[in-house]
Amino acid sequence: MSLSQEREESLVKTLKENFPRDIKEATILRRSRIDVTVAPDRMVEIATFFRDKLGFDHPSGVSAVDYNREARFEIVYHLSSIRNVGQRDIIVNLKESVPRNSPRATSLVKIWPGVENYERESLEMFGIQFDGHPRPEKLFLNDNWDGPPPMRKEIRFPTD
Amino acid sequence: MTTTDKPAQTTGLPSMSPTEPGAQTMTLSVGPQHSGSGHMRLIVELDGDIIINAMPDPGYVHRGIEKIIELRNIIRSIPVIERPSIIDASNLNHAWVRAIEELQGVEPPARGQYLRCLLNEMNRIMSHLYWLSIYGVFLGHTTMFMWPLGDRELFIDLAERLTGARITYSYLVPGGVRRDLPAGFAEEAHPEQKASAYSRASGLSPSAPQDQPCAGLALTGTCGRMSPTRHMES
Repeated sequence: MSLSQEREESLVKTLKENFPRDIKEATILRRSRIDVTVAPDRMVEIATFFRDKLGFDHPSGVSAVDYNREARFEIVYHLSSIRNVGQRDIIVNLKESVPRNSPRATSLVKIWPGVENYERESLEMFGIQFDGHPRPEKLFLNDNWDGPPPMRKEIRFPTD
Repeated sequence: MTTTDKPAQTTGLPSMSPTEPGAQTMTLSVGPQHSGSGHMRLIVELDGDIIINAMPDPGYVHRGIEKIIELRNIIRSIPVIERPSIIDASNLNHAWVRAIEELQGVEPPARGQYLRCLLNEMNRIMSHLYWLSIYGVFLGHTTMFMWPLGDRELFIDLAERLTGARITYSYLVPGGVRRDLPAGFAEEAHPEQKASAYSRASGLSPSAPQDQPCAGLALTGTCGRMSPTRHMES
């Protein structure tokens, strides 16, 4: 496979043409790695576009990042493609930021059923509420855990 | 933080209560102990033979690695990062080390990159041999358990020579590797001596052509066409 970034450039171009105002940032990190930051209120439309028009049928992971100094959480959907053989190596980091004092985002379970448990993990570890999630419950934590979401930056556990 | 008091009907998912008489579907627990590796329960809703819903109950397996290393300096995070998957420790570590290097704008020297690649590739093969052998156990085939593990031992010995550790190496560090190639490593890694010793020990080469240096090892044929000869020649 060539080292050119034509596929990545055309993906970014298509995105910017279709969502000129809602794509806050679209960067090609390197070959087959793209960062896309979008407005949270347009996430569902853009995710649907990714799935139906760009062929990203496989969310390989969802994670959350606590930028506590900027008072926001960033939710990252790592998208890849199984059906579209020509872009199987591409991973898109689809990002949205939610305010840290009221972390709330729209669940993408209706678009990719596979994100269900990843979103549950972000819910319990960071306290991010996903609207429309079919089962917003704990996944890994003890049932009797009543402390704060443990992965937030301000939480400190003594280690050694 | 969570809404556990939501009734099951609104979520469209089955409750965990025992099956009520007259119900259309049956709820069944698969696990947490089962023939697969590790503990994991699937709460399965069945309509006859058809699975119409499945809920995972992974148990208390989240190790909080991110939180543990938040409180350590970077060099002390490396042994921790390897722990979630000790059978493929160096490849896991590679991603972490590369992330640190990207943040710092550091590129390791070519020799360091080659040594990383060497250990990563050995570790990858070890990992394949490991799952293959565990798969043999699941099938109840003890011989299939032993052969890949025997082949894996060759690479473990080499990794021990290279890094000082058999399984979790902490060999990759930001900026390169922890130590250089030891003297005599290339000779030790040469497949002919290894394989002939192995085939003598296993007594596996009666029908294999004797002029092939790795006949005994190739005969075990545990991982597709992988054998030290083919792997190291290219």
